[in-house]
Amino acid sequence: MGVGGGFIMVPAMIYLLGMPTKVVVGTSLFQIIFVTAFTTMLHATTNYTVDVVLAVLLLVGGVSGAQIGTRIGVKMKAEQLRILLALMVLAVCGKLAFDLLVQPAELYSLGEGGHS
Amino acid sequence: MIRLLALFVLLALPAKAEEIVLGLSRDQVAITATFEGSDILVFGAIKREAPIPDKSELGVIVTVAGPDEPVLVRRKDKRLGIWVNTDEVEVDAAPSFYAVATNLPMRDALKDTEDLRYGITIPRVIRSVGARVGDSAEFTRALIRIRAAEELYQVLEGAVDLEKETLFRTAISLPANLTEGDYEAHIFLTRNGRVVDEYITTIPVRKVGLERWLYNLAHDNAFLYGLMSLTIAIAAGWGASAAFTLLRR
Repeated sequence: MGVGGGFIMVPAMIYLLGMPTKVVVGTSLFQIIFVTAFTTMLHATTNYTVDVVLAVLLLVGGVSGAQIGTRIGVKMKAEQLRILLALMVLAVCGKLAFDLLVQPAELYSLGEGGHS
Repeated sequence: MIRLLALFVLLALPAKAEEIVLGLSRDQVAITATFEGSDILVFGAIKREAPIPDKSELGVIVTVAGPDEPVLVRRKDKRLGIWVNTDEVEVDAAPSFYAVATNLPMRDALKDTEDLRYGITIPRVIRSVGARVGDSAEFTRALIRIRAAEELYQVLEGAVDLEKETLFRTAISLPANLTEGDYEAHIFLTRNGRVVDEYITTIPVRKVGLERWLYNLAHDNAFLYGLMSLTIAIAAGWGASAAFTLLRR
């Protein structure tokens, strides 16, 4: 939910809508603002699971990374950006597949009880 | 006959020969935004009217238990080639934190029957009844294993220093990810593995300061809290943008 659908939106805009890659990045981010803002409010009001202290720590890295990222994005070609995105999507897929296929060291996990 | 009975009752209920007098290094644990765990020093003395009984080993067991809560334990299994959660068991009540410290090896300090009666060791503290899966004991063991790895469950054999069978002290370290609530410290005095005296005291663990304020805000004014989070996020993004523009100049 936190990714805001960027992984799906970006390829969809590029290949289905035929939008230029440079425009897609900004459009996707603009759309994510509203999705994430809305889900933040929902999480805050329904299950009180917004951890502001942790969020601030993550923001420090996130906002500085975004600044550096936009500078790099300006200098790079659209094809290079697409390849980088593809590599990242593939790497995440690979990690998920790896976790599902390899026997985990600890078969048990703990969750909050009392709901069922 | 009555005399014999009276003698029997007297034998069964001996007057307390040894009693615990306790001190704690802190009456309350406060969780602040920068809380990184802390130590609780439990110390005390054994008060006795009679001379030290010889030929029996004196055991001191100190336990600190966090509030009980139900826990869901899930187990992964291979289905169609991938590892997914298949079985789950709800453990009815498990302490969020549990430490047990003794001066002797557990086996010498406590008899199994006494453990069953007072519920002292970790497996005896966790209540799991009505589990639907056959091997629910395996799930309870997994719960203990995982919590022990996170140092939420600690068995500290030999961690209680006992001096001249009178003064005892031990330090129990609380991890940073503590659950709020009333923690119970139990001190048991044993002779040959039998409990001769028991002492209970409560240590409140509370969030304070910024942590408390955020927690209250999130629960009482959730909408405001959400807006505040968003404001922080927007301010951070804008701030970084402004800072980087300044840096580039």
